[in-house]
Amino acid sequence: MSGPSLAEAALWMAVTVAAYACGLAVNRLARRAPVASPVLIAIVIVILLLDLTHTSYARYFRDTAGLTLLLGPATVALGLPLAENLAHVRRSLLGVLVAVAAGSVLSMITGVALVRALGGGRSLALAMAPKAVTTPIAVAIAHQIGAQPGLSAVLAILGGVVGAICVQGLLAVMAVKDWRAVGLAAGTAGSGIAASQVAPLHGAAAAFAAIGIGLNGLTTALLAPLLARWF
Amino acid sequence: MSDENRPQGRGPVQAVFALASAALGLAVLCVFAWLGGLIHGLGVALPAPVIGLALLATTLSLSELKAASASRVRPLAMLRRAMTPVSRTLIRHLGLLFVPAGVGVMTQWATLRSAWPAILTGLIGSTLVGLAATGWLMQALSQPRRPHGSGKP
Repeated sequence: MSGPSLAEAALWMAVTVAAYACGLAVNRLARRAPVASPVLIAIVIVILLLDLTHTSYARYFRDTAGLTLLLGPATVALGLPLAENLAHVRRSLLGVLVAVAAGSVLSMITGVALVRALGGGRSLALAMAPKAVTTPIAVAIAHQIGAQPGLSAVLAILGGVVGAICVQGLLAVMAVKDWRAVGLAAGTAGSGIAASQVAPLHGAAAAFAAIGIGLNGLTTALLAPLLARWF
Repeated sequence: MSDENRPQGRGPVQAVFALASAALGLAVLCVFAWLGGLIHGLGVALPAPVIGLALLATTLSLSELKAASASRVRPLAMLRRAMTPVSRTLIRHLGLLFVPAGVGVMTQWATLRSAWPAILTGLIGSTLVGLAATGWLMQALSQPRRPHGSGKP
């Protein structure tokens, strides 16, 4: 037998699951504050352990391929909440499509333009492009446009945290009171992290947030490759 | 979550049935992911899982439309019932599945250290613009909800 043993590979899977469980526990202790993102905590723990044991990222990524393999079907599963909630909102579908498309394009362009204007490199700008969408789709889009998937994943999580913190205050200042609009904005600009902030407040906000997450995933996936060609 | 309080199978027979149903549901998701990969391979410039997501959402929406008009769509309804619990479980723990990809940020340490002001500004600026544009447009474009029309929970 050559190469790393099965037991060694299973070790990093176990470490990843344990780190995620740790993240969930901390998140619960922090009363589900968006900053205490369980995934972010898990990522930090795993990076510290890799650093401590002098393990390369390539090695870690290969050993945890089992988790990454499930990411495909799990991303497909996001089609279920999208379909369930689309059925409820057929009447306002046109407004939804226009609002999501505008939010998607504007946030993508603002993110890329700000990074470029402040001296960020092209690869950073590329990783920034899909950051508004839910992290698994951001990772898939990063692969597609040649951005570093890990950077896009972390930017997507941080963007979601910013969205969760700002969504209610910003929209209140703008006199946007319609729960459908609040939910859609949270899902479109802050993905699942901002959505879980407004979803418990109102049924319509939850449904429109789910639609925002799904539709912005599709819109950004369609438009990011076009945008990537310009920058 | 309401689906957690649903009565679960009590005996071993129900447990085996639930397991088989979850496996079938996962198989359905994998088939859609595979179809996504197939279409992606044909040159469609969308990520494979996103194509799978769109296909699944379309199929489910169509099955709903048909279910309202005809009763000949039992297989689709059964498929949907099989894939719903496993989908919800996967979505609830989606975060765990992208930890390995996210850890890849450790290879970008130099970028993070040198460009953090640009990253921070870009993150906050673009998120605020996205929230404002989507929220404002959605409110402006949707007619006010009729009070008697909102009987659904």
